[in-house]
Amino acid sequence: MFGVLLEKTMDGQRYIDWLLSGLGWTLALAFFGWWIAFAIGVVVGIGRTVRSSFFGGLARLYVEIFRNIPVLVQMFLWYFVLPELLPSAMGDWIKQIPPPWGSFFPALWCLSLYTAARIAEQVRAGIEALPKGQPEAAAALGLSRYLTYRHIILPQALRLIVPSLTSEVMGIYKNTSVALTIGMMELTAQARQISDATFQTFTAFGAATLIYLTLALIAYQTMMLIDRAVRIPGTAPGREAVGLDIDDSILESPLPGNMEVVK
Amino acid sequence: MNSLDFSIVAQAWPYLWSGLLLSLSLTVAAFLIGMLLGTLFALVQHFELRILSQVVRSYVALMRSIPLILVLFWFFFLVPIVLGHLSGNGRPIPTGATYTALITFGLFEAAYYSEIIRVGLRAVNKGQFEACQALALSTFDTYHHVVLPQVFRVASPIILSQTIILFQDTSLVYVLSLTDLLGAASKLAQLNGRLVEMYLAAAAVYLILSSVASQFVASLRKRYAVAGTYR
Amino acid sequence: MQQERAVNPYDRFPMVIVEHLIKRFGSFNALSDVNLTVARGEKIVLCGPSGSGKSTLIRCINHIEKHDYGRIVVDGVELTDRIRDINSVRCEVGMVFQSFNLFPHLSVVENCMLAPLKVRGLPQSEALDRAMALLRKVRIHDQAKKYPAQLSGGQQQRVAIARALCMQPKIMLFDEPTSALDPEMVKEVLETMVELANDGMTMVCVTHEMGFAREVADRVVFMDCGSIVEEGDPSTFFRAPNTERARVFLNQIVH
Repeated sequence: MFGVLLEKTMDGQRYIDWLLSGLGWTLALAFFGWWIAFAIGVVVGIGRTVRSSFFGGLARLYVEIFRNIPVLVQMFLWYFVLPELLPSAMGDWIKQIPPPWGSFFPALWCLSLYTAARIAEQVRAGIEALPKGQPEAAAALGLSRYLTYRHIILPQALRLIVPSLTSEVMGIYKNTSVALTIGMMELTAQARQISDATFQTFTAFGAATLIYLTLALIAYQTMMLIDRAVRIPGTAPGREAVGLDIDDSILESPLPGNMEVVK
Repeated sequence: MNSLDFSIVAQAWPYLWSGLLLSLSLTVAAFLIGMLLGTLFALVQHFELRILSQVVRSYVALMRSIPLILVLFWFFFLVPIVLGHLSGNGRPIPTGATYTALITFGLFEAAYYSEIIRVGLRAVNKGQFEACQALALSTFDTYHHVVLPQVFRVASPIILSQTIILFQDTSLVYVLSLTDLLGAASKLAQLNGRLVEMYLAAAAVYLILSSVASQFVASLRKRYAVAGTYR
Repeated sequence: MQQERAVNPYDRFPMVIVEHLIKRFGSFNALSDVNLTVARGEKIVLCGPSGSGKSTLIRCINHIEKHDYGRIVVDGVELTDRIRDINSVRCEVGMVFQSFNLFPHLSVVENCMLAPLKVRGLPQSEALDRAMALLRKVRIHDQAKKYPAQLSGGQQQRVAIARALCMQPKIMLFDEPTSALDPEMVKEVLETMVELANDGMTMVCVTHEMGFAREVADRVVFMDCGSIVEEGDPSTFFRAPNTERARVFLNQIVH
C-alpha cells in the first residue's frame, strides 16, 4: 500500500523524501518552538503568581491575549499583518526573506508565543498547588523572594507539572500543521501534496498519520521518563499527590495510558 | 506603512457577521454531537465493555495524536466514500464542505469530551454507587439520575473550556475554504486589499468572545471551588 | 562570632519585645493589644485554646504574618516593612512548624545546608560540616542522604529543628511542633527540645505538652481570644491558676 511512496516524483526525488522533508520542518518547528515557549511560559507563569500588581497584570494580559485568539489567526497576524504595521523598510525586508524561512520564522514565533501562554497557566497552577508552608518555611530561614522561587518553589512546581506538560508537548507538534496555511511545507502539507500528485490519498494521509502517531508515542514516553527521572524519592507518582479533584491538569494529560493499543 | 482605516470593517460587518454565525453554529452543533458521542464513549470505557472499549480507546488516542487539520483532510476525503457505501451503490456521494466540517468537529471533539467525562466518572465518590445499590436503583437510573448529573456539574468548567477551544478551532475550516469568521475576513481582505484591518478585526472578535467566555468559566470554577462538594 | 556577640550593645536588652500588638484577619481580631517580653535565655511556653492567637503571635515575631499595629523588636531590630530588617531578623530567629515544612525535593542534609549557603554565604564545606554536626545532635545524621518523605514524622521534625539551628539563631520559635505527630513519636521530639533548652537557647514554644512546660519553661503564658490572660511560673500556673478561663482550659487538656 505504501509502495507509491517509493516512486519517483517529477523533481527526481521520491515521494517519501517529500514526507521526510515535511517531518523535518515539523520537528524543527516543534523542537525550537517548545524551548522558546518553555522559557517564556515559566517567566510569565511566575509573573502570574508574584505580588506586584504591575507584573501580575502584564502576565495576565499576555495569557489572555495569546490564549483567546485562534492559532490560525495568530499565524496570519504574524505573517500578513506584522510586516504591514512595521516601518515600511523593515516590513519590506521581512517580506523578502526567501521561501522556507519567510514562513518558518513567523510560524515558529507564533507557535512559541501561543504555547508559552498555555505553559504559563500550567506553571501558575503548579506554583499555586504547593502547600503554603513551603514559602513560609523558606521565609522563616531568611531566604529572599528570589531565592525562594529559585530553590524552593520552581523546582517543586516544575516537577509537579511534568505530566500536564505532556499535553502541551503534543499540542505544539500538532499545531505545527497550522503553519501550512502560511506556506510552510510541513508534514501535513507534504501529505496533501503527495495526495494531489498521485491521487493515492489513503496512502499519503495514512503515512502522515502513522508518523504523527509515532511522534505522539515518543513524546509520551519521553515525558514519562522525565517524570520518573525527576520524581522525588519517597513520594508517590505525581497524580496521587494532587488528589482526586478534577482539574485541567489531570484532564489535559495525554493519551489514556494505553498507547500500546494503537501502536 | 499605509494608514489604517477601520471604517472598512464597519462596511464589511454584515459579511463578517454571517461568517461569525457559521463559526458559532459549527461550535454549537459540534458541541451537541461531541457531548452525546463523548458521553457514550466514556460510558463504554467506564463499563469496560471488552472489545468496544478497546475500539473506543484506540479511537480517542488516535484523535488526540494527530493534528485537527489532518483530520479535516481525512474526513473531507473519507466522508463521501463512507456515505456512498452506506447508501448501497458504492459510489462516493459528494458532501458539502459545511457538513464535512460539522461531522469532523463532532467526531473529533467527542474524543476530547469523552476523556473529560471518563475522568469525571472515575472521580465520583464510591459511596454514591453504594447508596444507589442500597436504594435498589437500576443501573440506568443510577447513571441517569445520580452519577451523570454529578459528573456534568463538576466537569462543566472543563467542558466549557474545551468548548472555547472548539470555537477557536473552527477557524481551521479555512483549509476547506468555508466562509466562517476568519474565512469571511480573508475573502474580503483579498477583494479590497485591506488585510491588516480585516485580520485585526477577526482577531478582536475571537479575543472578545473567548475572553468573555473564559471569564464566565473562571467564575463557575470559583463557585464550585467554594461549594467544594462531590469529593 | 562569639566575640562579636559579647560586644553587642543590645545584649543587655531583651531578646524579643512585643508591645501593643494588634493583628486582624478581616474583621476578626486575632491579636488584640498583646505585650510580651522574652529575656535572653528565657524559655516560654505559650498555651491556650485553639484560635486564641498563640500561633499568630509567634508567626508575627518573624514576620510571616504582618502585624497591623504595635511594635515588635527582635534583638534590637524593630520589625518594619523594610525587607532588609525582616531578613536580618529572620536570620536570627529559627522557626519549627507544626507540619514540619521540610523541602521535599531536597535531601535531609540539603535541607539543612540551603539557607546557610544562600543566605549566610557560607562555603560548601563549612555548611556541610555544620549540617552534619547538628544532624548528629538531633541523632539523625545516619539519614542525611534520605529525602523527607522517606522519614517518619518524628524524624522529619527533628530534621526541621536541625535545619533551623543551622542558621545559628539566637531564638527558636516552636509552633505546636508535636501536634501533627503520632503519640509514639512525640517523645523523641520533646527530648531534642529539652536538650536544646539545656544548652541555654532562648525559646518560645506553642505547645500543649504540659510535662515539657513543667520541665523547661521559665514562664507559662496563657492566651485566650487574642490576649494574654495570665502568666506565671509553671508550678504555680499548673497548681493554682488565677483565672477561671485558665482553670477550664487546664481541666480540658488533662482529660
